[in-house]
Amino acid sequence: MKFSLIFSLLIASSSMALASVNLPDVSAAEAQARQDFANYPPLDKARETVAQLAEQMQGIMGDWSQRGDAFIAPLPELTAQPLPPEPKPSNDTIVDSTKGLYFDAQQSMMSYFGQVRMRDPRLSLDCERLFIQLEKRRVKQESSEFEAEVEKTETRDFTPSEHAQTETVIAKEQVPEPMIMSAKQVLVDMQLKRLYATGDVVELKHSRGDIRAEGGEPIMLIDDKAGLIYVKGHHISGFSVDEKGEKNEFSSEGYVLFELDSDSILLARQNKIQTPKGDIACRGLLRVRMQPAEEQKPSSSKGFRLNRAYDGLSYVTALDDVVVSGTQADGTPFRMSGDLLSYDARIGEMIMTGEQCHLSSAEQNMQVQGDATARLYADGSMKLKGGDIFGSYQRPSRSGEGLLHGTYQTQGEILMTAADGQLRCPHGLVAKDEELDFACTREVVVSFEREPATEEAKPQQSVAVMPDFAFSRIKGIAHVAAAGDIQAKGMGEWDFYAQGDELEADLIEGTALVRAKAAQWAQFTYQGAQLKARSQDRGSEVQLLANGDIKMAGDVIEGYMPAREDKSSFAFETQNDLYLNNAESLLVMPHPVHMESDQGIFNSQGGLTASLRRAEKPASTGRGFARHDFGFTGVEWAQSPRDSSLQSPQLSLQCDGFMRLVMEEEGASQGQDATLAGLQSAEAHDAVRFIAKDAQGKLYRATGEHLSIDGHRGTKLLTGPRVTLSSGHKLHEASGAGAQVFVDAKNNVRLSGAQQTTVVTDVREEFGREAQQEQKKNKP
Amino acid sequence: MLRSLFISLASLLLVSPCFAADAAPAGQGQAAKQESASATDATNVFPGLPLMPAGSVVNHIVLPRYEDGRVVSLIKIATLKVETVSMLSADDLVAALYDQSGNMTKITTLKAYIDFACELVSSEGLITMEDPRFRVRGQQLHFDTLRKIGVLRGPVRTVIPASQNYSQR
Repeated sequence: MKFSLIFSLLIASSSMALASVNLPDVSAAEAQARQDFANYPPLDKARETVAQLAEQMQGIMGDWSQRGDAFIAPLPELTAQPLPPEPKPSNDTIVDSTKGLYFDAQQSMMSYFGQVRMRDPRLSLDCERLFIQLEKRRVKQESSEFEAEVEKTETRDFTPSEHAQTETVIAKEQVPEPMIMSAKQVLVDMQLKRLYATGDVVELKHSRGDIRAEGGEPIMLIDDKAGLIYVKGHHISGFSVDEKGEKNEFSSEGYVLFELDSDSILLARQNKIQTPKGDIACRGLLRVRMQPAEEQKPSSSKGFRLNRAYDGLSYVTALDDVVVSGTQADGTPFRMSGDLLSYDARIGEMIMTGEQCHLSSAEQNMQVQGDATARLYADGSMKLKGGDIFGSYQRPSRSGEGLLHGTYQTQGEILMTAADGQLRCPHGLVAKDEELDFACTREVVVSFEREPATEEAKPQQSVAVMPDFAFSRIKGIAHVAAAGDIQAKGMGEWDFYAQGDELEADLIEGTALVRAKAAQWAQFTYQGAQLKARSQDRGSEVQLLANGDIKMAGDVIEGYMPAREDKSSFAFETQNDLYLNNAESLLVMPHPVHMESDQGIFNSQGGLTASLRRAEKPASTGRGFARHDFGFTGVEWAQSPRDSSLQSPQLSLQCDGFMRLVMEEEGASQGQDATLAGLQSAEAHDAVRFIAKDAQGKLYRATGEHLSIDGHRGTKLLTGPRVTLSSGHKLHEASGAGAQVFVDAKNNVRLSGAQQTTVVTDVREEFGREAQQEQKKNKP
Repeated sequence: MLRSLFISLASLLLVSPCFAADAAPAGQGQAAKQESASATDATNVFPGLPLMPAGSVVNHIVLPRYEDGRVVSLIKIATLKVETVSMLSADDLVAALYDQSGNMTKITTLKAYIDFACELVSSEGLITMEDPRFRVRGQQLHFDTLRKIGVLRGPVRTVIPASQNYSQR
């Protein structure tokens, strides 16, 4: 016999739903939960009925007790005698008492005094006062049978019946294991199949469980016919041992009611259910609906009708300060709290609602405030809904060294789907930890890397009292898609910053796309390299591709490469488009460009193609952004098709046509003539103009059609059909064959050509100054 | 004549079968008691005194009682003695009481006293009561013949057959 209706309270065996990414809406689920809660009137009705019944039983017991005591009072006092020997196991019900028996023949009632012992295949009872209401007599026997009985009686000896002195002893193995009850007063109604017990402590025990009520005049009512068990008392507690030998415990205050017809258990208040897998506690009503076993065990037919076999829970509803805690499939703890719990164990879904809901596990802590709903799905997915949602989490660091602790905040809703490892926040998210500082105001979808599910961690198909937070087995962020005033800052190994209106980043592949609305900057910074774009009337974007290339689009594009390895930083500004080929270190800006560094300023209306110098080749290994190296240390060469200029403190160069500049590596040009501006070589075409200093340090300006600078020799050669050289107020012009301006390594400037003219624009000053200089030289 | 006397005796001893199936409700029982008590108060002596004066002894007697042609009780007594005008004693008494449905309640005792003054039947020594629904054994019985209530002194053992117990469906 397994009187497991209460004892098996928490032995759950439920089929769990497979993962579903398309999760039902929380509002609908919450409404369903509330509806389910409201659809329990049979249990409420049963509670009222059974409470009235208990009062009625109490009345009967009191009345009989009073009448028995009144009858006994004038008689010689009943004295306690030793109890008869313990009866042998039998199918009969055997009652022994030490003091005696009061009976009412008309009421078919017996009342036992003294130490009372009742032994029954189903129940072993010890108490101080036992009332038994016998069944009414059966229908009339057949007349022939009746006459035979009369005949038998008339011919019987005048000796006490043997039948009256012995009990029918049966084989022990046929006797089911009885429950053991201890109480002070017990009323057994055999006709109505009811048992009512009172006392300071009322306890019902079984090898597989126990239920005990104490304080507040406890009672226990078992109505086998109606299928009810009602236990009332200040403190009610019990436990059960399931088929696996695991102990499940519960406690309550007020009452506990089991109703067979609905397979439901109702616990009044201050309830707590403890199982090896987890606990449920609540301040208000706790309703548990059991899942009847598909095959009821035959032994139950010998016991109480209430002795029904169950496979476990099917549904749990709890009210007021509800706390669910336990251990997940992977062995880590979790806790969930709210005001109303609805748990459907058949599909493994749990819904918690309330003004506030809290969820916490070893890795996460979540709080929803304001008409909050938290829904946990069978596969470990979660959906939180309400006003403000706060949370904290921990996750492995990118370096794999230790765990990072972070916090986040969002509003309205947050959805975590275990099947695809995604977190969705429709109304923005603010998150911060040691590696990441992120904020956005519109929808964000974060995909997480997840540890491979172990056998234990996979969603269970069978027993699962508590939900599985499979979502918590995240490893790190894999992908982010966000919108609305994005501010994302990566620290430590990540070292990035993104700003814009939309962001899509793949942290595994190392890609990022930052978009901005009109008049807003789209910015992406990585390893100190800043890239930003802005448009007045359209969107702009910065994109980091998987191969480390960068694409930018916008009316205004700005970039900054920080100083590295003792090399100076450089910045650039262009329009419309920019492309950085990371593998080839090639920077392409097809539209007007401005580039600036400590070495000089370069401008071009015709765009620029530049090869950037870096100390080392890009790392071919690593994950995510770490795959990319933006450690540029300067410009190796740059060229522009037209309208370009180069300005340095010692040299100014302009041309209308093609210009190509090959730069000496910074530092390697030490000792080089400053007027070379760190150029290893240069060429410029069409209307070339340049200004430099000659050997005396005087500025000169030269024009021509083609300029060639040889940094190794330190020479500059300007040629063309017509070349000019001007200094001070003198303008030298050469044309014809061989017209050129040649500047040697010592900055001596020589003008040559078939035809030469010199024009002096301010003779007095020019020659006066020369005369003064001659006089100064001639003075002793 | 003697037969009718013992019919009366039997009716006093156990007016109706114990644990009647159609027992009257408590209120009605009280009213019946008061009515019967008023009737017997005036005659609280053994009604068979004219035939069996105090000190009379009758051996091996069977006392059947019929109502409407139906046996309602059979009482066997090994020795019946009129102890006083209001007290009888019976040795080795076996009483079989039948209700309207024919169910029998059997009482067996070694010594019984019938007190007409107190409307009380008492027994000494082992006493057993048998009913299709139970068997009970005790040491001493006090039975109120009017109210049909009684006390059996301990130690008491009651056996309720499995076919009758409360879990039978």
